[in-house]
Amino acid sequence: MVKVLYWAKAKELVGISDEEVYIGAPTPVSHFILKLENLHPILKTLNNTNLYALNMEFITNFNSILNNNDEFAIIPPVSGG
Amino acid sequence: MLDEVELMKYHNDFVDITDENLNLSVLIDKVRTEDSGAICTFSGTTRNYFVVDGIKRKVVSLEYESYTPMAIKEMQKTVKLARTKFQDINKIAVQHKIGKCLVGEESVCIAVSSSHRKVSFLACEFIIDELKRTCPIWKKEIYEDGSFNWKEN
Repeated sequence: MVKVLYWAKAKELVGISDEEVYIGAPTPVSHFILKLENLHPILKTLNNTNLYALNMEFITNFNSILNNNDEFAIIPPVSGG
Repeated sequence: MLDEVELMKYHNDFVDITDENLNLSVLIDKVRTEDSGAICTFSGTTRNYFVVDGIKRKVVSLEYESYTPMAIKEMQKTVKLARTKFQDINKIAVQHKIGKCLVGEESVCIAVSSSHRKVSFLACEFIIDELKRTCPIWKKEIYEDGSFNWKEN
């Protein structure tokens, strides 16, 4: 299972703050994002402005591989400070 | 090269996220050193209006949410980057409030000390700019009519 965290606007749209998502085998990030969008079609309305984080590091390579027990987060455009 | 956590321990820098009200003088004391000739600070405060779709809307309060462990990591990276960019910084302290922030209240405070003032001024500005760019913290503006909007930096 991968732990998925939804933040800010993503959390509001999806309606939950986090969930465990099953992956059968190590999965590229790009595929995993499609999987999440199938689970929660409303994510598609976020217009690709999101970033994503894997184990608390921003994802720059969407071919990176997700493994069991990884933590994946949807990071809407930030507004700290 | 030390990683950001080791670097912070080495210099006794301070980064924190709290749901309590911020106190700038506490941060100033954290960076005060006998070999510093300057302490520069920045406080980000809640403005009572934001412009949304060209219209000025009155803000009643802000609510901040953070992916706290990752936000702390990014703040540590920002501190490391400031030390790489600017030489002769003595100490750095950065603190961000999460939860509700009323109009006029501080949501973020930064203090930097150095032997001579130029570097503290520059580092302060750099740190807030970088924090706003990279830190996984989100601000929700709550307006007079009860509606709200997630801001984007």
